Order: sequence, then structure tokens, then C-alpha cells
Amino acid sequence: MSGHLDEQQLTDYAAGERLDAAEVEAIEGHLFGCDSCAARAAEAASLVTRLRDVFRALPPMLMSDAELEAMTRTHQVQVCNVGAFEQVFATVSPHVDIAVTRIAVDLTGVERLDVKLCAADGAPFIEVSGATFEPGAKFVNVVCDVHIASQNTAFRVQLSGVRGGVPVQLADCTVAQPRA
Amino acid sequence: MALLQEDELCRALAPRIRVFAQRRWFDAAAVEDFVQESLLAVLQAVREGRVPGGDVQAFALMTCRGRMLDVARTRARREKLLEKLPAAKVIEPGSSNEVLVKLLPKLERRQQRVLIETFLDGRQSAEIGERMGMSEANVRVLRHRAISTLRGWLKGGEA
Repeated sequence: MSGHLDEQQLTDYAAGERLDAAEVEAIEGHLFGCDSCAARAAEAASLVTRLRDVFRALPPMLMSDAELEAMTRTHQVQVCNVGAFEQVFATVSPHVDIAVTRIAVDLTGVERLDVKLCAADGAPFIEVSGATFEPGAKFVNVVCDVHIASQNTAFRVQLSGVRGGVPVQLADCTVAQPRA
Repeated sequence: MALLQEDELCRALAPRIRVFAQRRWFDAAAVEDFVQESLLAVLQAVREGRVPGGDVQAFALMTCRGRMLDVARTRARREKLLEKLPAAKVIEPGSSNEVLVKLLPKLERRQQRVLIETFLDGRQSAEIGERMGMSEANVRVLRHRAISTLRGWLKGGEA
């Protein structure tokens, strides 16, 4: 490999991107022989590790009522109750540990549940396909990242799934910051 | 080899071995174990004059590659046992990772999504591209820009 590794290569390598074997071999051969690239790679890898830690530390996206109750005993939890196709106004405090949108929705007969947390315009922040849920539950507790919930003027939670083999829209609700 | 030289060798090799391991394993303790054990193996070979051509860096890379498969097999078994246990990690208030959490929403939305899909869901850029309706190369560019932006903010003390 001639010259130094470019930043994009270092990021792809550090992020665990699937590269072809020859490219990995060339990158590693260079890294072990080049102080400058080794230092830059170490910096990129350190941030990647921190990002993985941050995402792994996020709470699961859905919580059962029992998990939510247990969580409220040990953490500051802000719960926002909302109907399945309703818009509510609420100020989510950036100082709580977890913000939970508690959606009144009947999951009777639902065989599969997909969850999407998105901006008001529908652009997704986080999606979970095939979420684990309690069959027959009457509420779904969706954990929303506190920073997403508190720093956006509004966010939406969309629940879709399959009932009786047929795709269904189960909820599309919005939590908006109260207008000043 | 004098202790001082060994110390310098460790300082030079450890970051390289760490990067090598961090690409493959997400567990910080596993990475550090790999770094320590690989360094020991290299030092031992240096002491015994077993480094071909005296090229310690090339030998270190060869050692890492050789050990990687064994370690991966052991870890795969261990992770299978541990996967049913709940994650116990938390983000400590005031920690450097809490700063990072606050910076993530400031990224452009598509960049946020690529980071989430990469580091939370463990998807490769080709799959992310399919889900987001863009090319694999575009996903890599978005991820690179996101990481570069975060690095810049962290260096500038932004939170």
C-alpha cells in the first residue's frame, strides 16, 4: 500500500465494516508499520468503542408494565400517556433518566410488532422490527431516548404489525412540546 | 533486551494491537486481554531471538493474526453462554460517554440513523443502504462524517 491510509479507510476498518480480505491485510500491514496511521486508527477505534458502549447502554425500546414499574423505583422516569392515534402536548425534561411513551393500544391477536420512533415528519430515529411484546397487552411502553424526546419539538411513535396474517397499523401518535 | 527497550516496544505496539482487536471484538475487557497476551507473546519471542529478520512490527501482526482464530473460537462459546443475561451497562452521569450521548442528537438525522444501525443493530453498510434507499458507499460516507464530526466536537469540548 502506497502512502498513508485515508480517513475513510480508517473509519471503515475501525467500525468493523466488512472489507475484503486483501484490503484488511493491506490496512493492517500498513498500520503495524506506520506510527502516524496507527495513532489515527487508535483515535478512530476509541470513539467507535465509546459509541458501541453508548448504544449498548441504551435501555430496551419496549418495556413491560412490570419492567416499567421496577425502573421507576431506581430511576427518574417520565411517562407520557397517549392514545393510539392521538397527539398530546408534553414537555420532556432533559434531566430524567428515561422518557417513556405509554400508548393505549390493544395487542390482542397481534402476532408481530414493529416499532418506529421518528421525527414529526416521519424520518426515523430508531426502528425495531419484530419487537418482543406481551401478547394481549393493552398498553405498549416505548422507551424514547431522553435527548431525542427533549430536544425535538415533536416526535412520533408508530406501531405496526400483523394480526390474523394481515398487516395492521396499530398506532401513530405524536408527543409535541407545548407551544410557548 | 533491556527493560527500557521493552517498555518502548510495548508503547509502540499496544495501540496497534488494540486497534486490531477493537475491530473484531466489542468487549473492552476482551480487547485488553488480547493486547496483553499478544504483547507477552511478542516480548517472549524477542527475548528468545525468535523474531524473523528482526522485524518486530511484522512479527507482532503475524502473532495477532495467529492468535485471533483461537480467541474468536473461545469467545464465541462464552458469548453464547452470556447472551441470555441482561445487559448491565449503564451510562454514568458526568462520564465522557454521557457527553457523547448529548452530542448524538446534534448530528444530521441520516448520520444518526447510520450510527444507530451500525453500532446498535450491528448492520453492515450494504444492508443499511438497502434500508435507507442509498448506496453502500453513501452509507460509509455518512458514517465517516458522523464520526469525524463527533471527534471534532469532543476535541472542541462541545456538549
